[in-house]
Amino acid sequence: MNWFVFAARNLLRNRRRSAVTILAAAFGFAAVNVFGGFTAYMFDNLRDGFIYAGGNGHLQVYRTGYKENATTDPGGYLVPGDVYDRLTHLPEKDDRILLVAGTMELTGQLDAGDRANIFVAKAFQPSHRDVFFKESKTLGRGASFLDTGDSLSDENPNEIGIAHGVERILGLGLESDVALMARTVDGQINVVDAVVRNTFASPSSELDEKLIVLPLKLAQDLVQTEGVGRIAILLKHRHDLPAVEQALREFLEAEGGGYEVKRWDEESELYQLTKKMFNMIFGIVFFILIVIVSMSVMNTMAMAIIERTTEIGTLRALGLRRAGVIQLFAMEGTLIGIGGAMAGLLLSVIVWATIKVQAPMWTPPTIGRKVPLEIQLVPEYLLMTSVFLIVLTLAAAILPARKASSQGIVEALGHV
Amino acid sequence: MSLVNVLSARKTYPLGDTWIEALRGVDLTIAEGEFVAVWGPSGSGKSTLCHLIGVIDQPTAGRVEFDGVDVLSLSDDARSDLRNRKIGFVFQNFNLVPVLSALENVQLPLQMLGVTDSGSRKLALEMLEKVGLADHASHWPKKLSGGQRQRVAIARALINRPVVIVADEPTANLDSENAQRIIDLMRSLNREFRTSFVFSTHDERLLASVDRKVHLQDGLITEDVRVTPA
Ligand SMILES: Nc1ncnc2c1ncn2[C@@H]1O[C@H](COP(=O)(O)OP(=O)(O)OP(=O)(O)O)[C@@H](O)[C@H]1O
Ligand SMILES: [Mg+2]
Repeated sequence: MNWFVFAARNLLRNRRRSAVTILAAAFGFAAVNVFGGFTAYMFDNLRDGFIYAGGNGHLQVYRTGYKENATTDPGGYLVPGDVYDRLTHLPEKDDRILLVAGTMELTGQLDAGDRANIFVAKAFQPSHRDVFFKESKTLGRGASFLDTGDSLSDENPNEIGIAHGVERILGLGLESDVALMARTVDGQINVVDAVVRNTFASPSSELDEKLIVLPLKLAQDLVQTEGVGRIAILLKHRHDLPAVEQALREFLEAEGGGYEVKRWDEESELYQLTKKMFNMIFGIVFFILIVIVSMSVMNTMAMAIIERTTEIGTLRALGLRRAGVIQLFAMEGTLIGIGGAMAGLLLSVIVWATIKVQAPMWTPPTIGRKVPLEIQLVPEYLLMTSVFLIVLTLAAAILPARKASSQGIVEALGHV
Repeated sequence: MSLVNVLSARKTYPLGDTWIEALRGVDLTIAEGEFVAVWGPSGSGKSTLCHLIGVIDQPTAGRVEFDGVDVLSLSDDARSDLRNRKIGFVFQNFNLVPVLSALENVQLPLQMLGVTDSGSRKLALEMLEKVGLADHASHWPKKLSGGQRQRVAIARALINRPVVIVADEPTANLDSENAQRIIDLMRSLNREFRTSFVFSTHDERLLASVDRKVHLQDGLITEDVRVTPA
């Protein structure tokens, strides 16, 4: 027999009470980890949604002032064609970079013969978009927003995609001929012809009646430039981000400066806000865990201590030091913590496995279509919660045990 | 050689607006190997005196010396260690730890000393044999009779080979036959190990085999007689 066996047997004295306490700890543990696991999954989805599905890449490069002036003076803040050209050759020299994809945002008027409406367009090189989708891990390979029709291709630069709202209000369909009208970088009005190749669901209802996508080449023809608006840089591995960011800054400095290099997390407002919100909720869940577990353990320990007052007196009379009494109850608290962490781990795995098997479908706000819900089992979270839970139960046991250890031996012995 | 010296010890307890004087100036010296009975009526201060000798309580005034050292000068840890090594305790209600077997109860003081389980097991078994309970080693306290429990408690008190064992009314919860057996057992262990025993009782019938009778009344020693061994 050693002190741990003694402590364990003491917990078995009141099995029901110990079990309830351990269960409370286990539920708290599971709540934190299931919620944390869902949060981790959410963050991954938001991140990949932004980087891959949104075609934004890990890093974005644009001219200083582009964001602020893109609507009023789109031509004035483009990355010049020659700089873009040199950037596109970076992946050949730097194998951390997978793709350098120029994009352009522009507005103008979409003419469908008898009807017309303003458009908001996103332009990109179609083959680039394929790379983004192919690389996406969380969204499944080849996923795209296409609802009907074929994807755009580099070979047919006059083909465009339109949102359902545009299709509806302009009475368009696949293969419809349209004309795009916009101001060139010199301020002239220019028109190009295009054919509707596909239609898609707009990620936001506000843009539904205006949003179109077109090949970068067509957009450049329309506004008469070789330049691009924003450049998305896609990396092979996320962990290279800081190094590549630095390298890019140096590269652009050598190009004369005046550029912004932004990481995906700086650019994604949705990610930032969601992360803030979820971190807050996570903090609240965690706080509730702390309160419930510590109160429940303290209560259990306080009751055990009252019930065992005479025994504490006996042990002290036999020569156990005050610290020995505290240690004994600390061990009992620790065992509750270990039990709670193990039961909580089991509970978390059960919830995780159930969700994995059932795979309930849901629509994340960023993707705009149904995907199977997942939660992740994050080893760091599991480890941290385990350690935290054990420390917490230990502390919650020590508090009442300290009091018990310092009471008079004679009084304790006389306790009934 | 004197082991324990109680010098002009007083103990007062607050009771409402007044004080109760449990001990009113007690002088007592316990020598090595003595077998002492503290007897007297209820409320005379027997338990209080036992607590002082056992170093689980301190006098309000006066001193208690153990091996010449004033126990008041010791830290709480030092007093705990003193109890663990030099003092054994036997209680009226046996006070065995219910989740420990008879053997494990006897091992407890050794475990507090840091002796390993295997090391203490052998010694504890030997001690259980001395009290005639070797075949009950694995029993839980609740499966033992009162007399058996008290014998386990005596083995537990003796396991660290203390210099003195303090027993406050060790027989109060036993029938007279078992009570006499417990006193006889303590007496034979006292002879075998040269351990001093101080036990309290209000039962005069149990005083037959003692070396020394200390009579307490109203917190004072009224009589302290040595009996020449029969
Ligand atoms: N904790 C206490 N608070 C108040 N009074 C106490 C306390 N302990 C003992 N007393 C009082 O001190 C006196 C001596 O008590 P003590 O327990 O030493 O007597 P005793 O001889 O052991 O009696 P008994 O035979 O009933 O056990 C009694 O009057 C008792 O009521
Ligand atoms: Mg008494």
